[in-house]
Amino acid sequence: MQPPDDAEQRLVRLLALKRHEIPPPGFFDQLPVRILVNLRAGTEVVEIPWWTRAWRVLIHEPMIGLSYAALGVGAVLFGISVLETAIDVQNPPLSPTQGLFPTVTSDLVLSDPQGVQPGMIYRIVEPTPATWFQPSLNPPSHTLGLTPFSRGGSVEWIQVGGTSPR
Amino acid sequence: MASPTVAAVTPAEPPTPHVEPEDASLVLRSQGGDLAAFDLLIRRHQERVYATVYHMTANHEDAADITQETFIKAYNALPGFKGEAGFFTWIYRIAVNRTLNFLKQRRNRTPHLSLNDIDFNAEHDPDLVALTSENTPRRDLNLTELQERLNTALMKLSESHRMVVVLHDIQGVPHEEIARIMDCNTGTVRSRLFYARQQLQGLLSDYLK
Repeated sequence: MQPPDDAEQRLVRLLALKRHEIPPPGFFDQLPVRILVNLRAGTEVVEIPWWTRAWRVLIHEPMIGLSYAALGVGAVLFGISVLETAIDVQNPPLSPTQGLFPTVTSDLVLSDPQGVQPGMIYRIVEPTPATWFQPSLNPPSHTLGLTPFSRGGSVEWIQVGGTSPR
Repeated sequence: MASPTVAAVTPAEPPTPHVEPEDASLVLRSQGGDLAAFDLLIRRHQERVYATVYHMTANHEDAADITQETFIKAYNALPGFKGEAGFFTWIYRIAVNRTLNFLKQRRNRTPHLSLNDIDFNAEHDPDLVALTSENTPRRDLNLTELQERLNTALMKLSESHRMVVVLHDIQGVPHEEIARIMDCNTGTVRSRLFYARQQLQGLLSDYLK
């Protein structure tokens, strides 16, 4: 059995082999140039960009990459749900009473010619908030059988298309 | 005045040895924004800095990135360099800290190891010759395989133990210098070196018989 000192000496000699490992040819000529180019360009510290590091993680550890992706998607979904909740709080749904007053905002094709031109397309314009709960000057009330006011205020009927009656 | 004939037969005078400016003067010039001086500092120390980082990370690309970052960081920090320690110690300390930070980040993923080539002189290295001599059963030793075994064994050491082995046994940095670089006392360096070598002897026992 060899004394420990001998084994240690052998180990040191073995480790010294690593001194012979060299980088690719020309590396030590290019490195100073790269460093000086970065310094001249005023680059503070050219650390590896986060996306490069992230890419390396994705390449070498796809499971970690997938986990981060899942976390990201989860965060986005959570954000959307929080946003929707906030919108609902700001604009609560109409109560049943309010629901009695139809809010018509879409374009209507009138079929009843009374008071309006048949075949024409009209748009009911919502009253502005400032005019809510004020007496309305109603347009023809027979239109589609709906009472054409919405939460009070005046409603305008604007012709937006269609063909003129013959 | 010497005649041309005499001058022709007189052996040429040895060229005046080119005196390299010392680190301190190059640092002073670099602090004044002289990039040519800093270029000299880079060329003087890049191989040792790179080698240290490479032996710690076992990856050429990572070592190249960290070496570059080290010198850029050093240049930007030069105004704060007071010169208490030598430039060599100072730049090593930056490289060591950046490498340890990098390894901390890499700890959670499997490192991608790469092997650099062995230079041509390795075949004439007496230590290697002794390792592969006919008196040993390793004369058919494959160098690449040996490199891989060494790297794998080194990677099993803790980062602080590996750093001491790399600096002392591979780079040949004295204990006192390592203590200054790693900001610890010499006893700690010797202790880490002792335990690291013991661990390596166990891991590389078949190469040490």
